Amino acid sequence: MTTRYIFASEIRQALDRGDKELTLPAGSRLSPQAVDLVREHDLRVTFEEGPAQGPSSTWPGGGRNQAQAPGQGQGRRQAAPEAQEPASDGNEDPAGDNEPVSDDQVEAIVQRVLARLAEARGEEPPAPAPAPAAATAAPGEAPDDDLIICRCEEITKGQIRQAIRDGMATLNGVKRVTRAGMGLCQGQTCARLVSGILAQELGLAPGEVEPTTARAPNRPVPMHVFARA
Amino acid sequence: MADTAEVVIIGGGIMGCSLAYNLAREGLKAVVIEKSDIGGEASGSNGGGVRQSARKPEELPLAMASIQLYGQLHEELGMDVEYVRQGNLRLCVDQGDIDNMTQAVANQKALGLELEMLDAKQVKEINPYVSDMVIGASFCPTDGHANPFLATYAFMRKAKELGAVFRTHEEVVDIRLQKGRVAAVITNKGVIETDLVVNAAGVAGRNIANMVGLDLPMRPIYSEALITEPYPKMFPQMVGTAKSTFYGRQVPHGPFFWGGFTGSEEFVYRGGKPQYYGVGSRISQMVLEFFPALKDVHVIRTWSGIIAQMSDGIPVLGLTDEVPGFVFCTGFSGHGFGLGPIIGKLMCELIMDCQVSIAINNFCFGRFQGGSECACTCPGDATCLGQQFPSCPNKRMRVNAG
Repeated sequence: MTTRYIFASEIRQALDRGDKELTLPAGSRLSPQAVDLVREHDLRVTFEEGPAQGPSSTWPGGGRNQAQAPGQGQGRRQAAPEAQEPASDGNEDPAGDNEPVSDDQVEAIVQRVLARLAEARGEEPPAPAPAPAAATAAPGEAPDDDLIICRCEEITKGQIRQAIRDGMATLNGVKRVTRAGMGLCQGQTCARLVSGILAQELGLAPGEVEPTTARAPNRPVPMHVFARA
Repeated sequence: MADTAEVVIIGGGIMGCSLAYNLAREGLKAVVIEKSDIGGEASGSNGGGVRQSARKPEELPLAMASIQLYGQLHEELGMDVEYVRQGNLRLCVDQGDIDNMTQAVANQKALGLELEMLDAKQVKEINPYVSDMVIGASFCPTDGHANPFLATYAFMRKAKELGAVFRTHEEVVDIRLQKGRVAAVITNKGVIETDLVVNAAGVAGRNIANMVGLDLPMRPIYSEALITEPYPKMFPQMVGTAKSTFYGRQVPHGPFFWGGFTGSEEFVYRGGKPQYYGVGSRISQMVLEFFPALKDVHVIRTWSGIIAQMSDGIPVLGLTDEVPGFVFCTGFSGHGFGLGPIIGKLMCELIMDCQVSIAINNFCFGRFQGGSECACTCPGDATCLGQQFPSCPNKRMRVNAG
């Protein structure tokens, strides 16, 4: 589920209609201007019940009502089910819930993984994977745009390609605007993949792509330990 | 190969991109030259504070106008820049801090800024995680923070969409003058003929000024910051201390950002530049004194940035009589990001109309030459406000952007 943004214009429309209450979809985020308008006109804002989350995507009014105690997340990023794009073209989760998995579904997954492995190695996709999307994809879009490259931050190949097309020509540049490589592993997993994409998009040899600036510490260190360094 | 451009902006940080966007909206397609990627220097390493409190009085009107523009950015640029307007706390730990902040609050209130002094209990209500050593704080509810990388990127994308040209990985090596006027910008990749150059090069601004025979009292300051892993939401305000030792915020998707300079760092002067060791550790120490609840959060990255520090701590903006066609927009001294949108707008007004809606005469280059009174006669001078300059050589033709 993507976050829905509520802008001031929408609030103004509601005000023009004379609404005193607003019901927004779960997970909506109000722009600061919208928040100002809501406060100014004393609007009542309620959020629709979401399947698994409350209105957590909005910053809490004073920050104190919904602030969770530290340690509750055990320092790990909490699972963000809404961050996953809706599945399409045979990508539905066959292992989900109690559904039995059919042989066809397993076969489809195996073929998709093989095709992506082959592509990562720079080979042609194997014959049994006809990759029908490739022929129909709009210009500028690739069939593997939804492939997750940075696992920590859940950044897809499509987002990285977009940043490169917008002019980013270094790993540092791509990292800044997409967050690929900014997560818990600090790019130890994805730096090579992102350089690969950069090399491909810019027509460079992989060795010509400069590595990101090395940043201390090498691995995550608890703050009280880091403070004694 | 000589290209031509109506305006060349040197520096693709928040200032350059914001100015390019404002000019493009008026139909003037600037060429932006950036030696690395967009937002590669200070705009790619700062803390993202968007504040009005604790600004110098000269900067306050700009900061207050900038806050309004930040509120519209998402809508205007079509991209979320993670702007959060939830206030800024400056924490006090002793009576000296309280006295200083009370004085600062009174001064800023007199200039029209809405802020207040809070006692320890009120601070805890706003931010329950501060330690008991905090005995008060100043609180400006309209301050906040945004993502500096995305703000710069968003300005760049929109400017590009409107026709501005961005040339990255290209470095300006010289500026050619003809009869004392700007004639061309020479880069390592070619020559761009132009009669108007904007120096938005941040810390490289002094080198750029040197190219036309001017010098700025600017020096680089090395600053460091760290970021932690994501954590559940704890507080949305920007926080800092009355002694300005550290500052920080929780980024909307969870991690804590902390930056600053506590004064207890080890200092070594080596290889012609100052080096500080253990800045990240000292910041962590300090943060844990104020926010003990964060002791188990993992630090995942530290980085440094360079601040373009002016001798008087405020930027240089506007034109100069000495070199017609050369526009200053640099030297933000570590607090420029929050001003980005308004500076882009004002510099655009200066270039298009030779008349700005908020006086910038305090920032004139002339202040370094004219003693106490600003000797500047550029049209950005407040004395020129309200007047038209039909014959100003720096005025650009307005093109209908359609």
